[in-house]
Amino acid sequence: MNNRLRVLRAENGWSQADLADRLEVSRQSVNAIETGKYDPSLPLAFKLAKLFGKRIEEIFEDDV
Amino acid sequence: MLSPVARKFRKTSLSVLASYFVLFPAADYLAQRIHPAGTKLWLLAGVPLLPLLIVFVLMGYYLRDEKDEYKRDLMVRCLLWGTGAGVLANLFFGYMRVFGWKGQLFPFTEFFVFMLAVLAAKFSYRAADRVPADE
Repeated sequence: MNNRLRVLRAENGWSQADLADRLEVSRQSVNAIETGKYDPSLPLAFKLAKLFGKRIEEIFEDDV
Repeated sequence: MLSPVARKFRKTSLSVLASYFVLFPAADYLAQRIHPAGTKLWLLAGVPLLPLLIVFVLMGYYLRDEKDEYKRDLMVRCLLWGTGAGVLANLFFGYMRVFGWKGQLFPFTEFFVFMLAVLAAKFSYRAADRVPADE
């Protein structure tokens, strides 16, 4: 699954650590999601969407 | 960095595992003295298992309480590697015996295989997931 997390994070001027703090996860998790190594659960995806004020499909897109 | 839940799990499980080094020699000493049989033997053999049983329960609590789902996922993957390796080692030596092998395994071989596989998986994931400097 592709995502625009890195771009959105940069637009907000947040580091990975800043985003990790806001999501209450580790920076390792944020990095894994950004690089596509890990697809977040629905609750975490909703949390991200709420944080960036976007819909989930504006952040994540199926790579098929 | 460890999450608070992971820190608690590590601290508690290490303390519990330390008791193994008291329980096992004590059970072994008792076994040498009283030469238990039947139910007594079963009970005595179960004594050193208690700390390991508690650590597995603690692991369950850790998996339940860890909020970082990625870390939880990594832990589950490591445990699966360990379980798979332990089961395969057990089956392999089982087949060796079925096919006529008369040798004897080093005690707790399967457990060591489990632990080694968990640690190998943990370090492999850590190496593969090296987090670059923050931007």
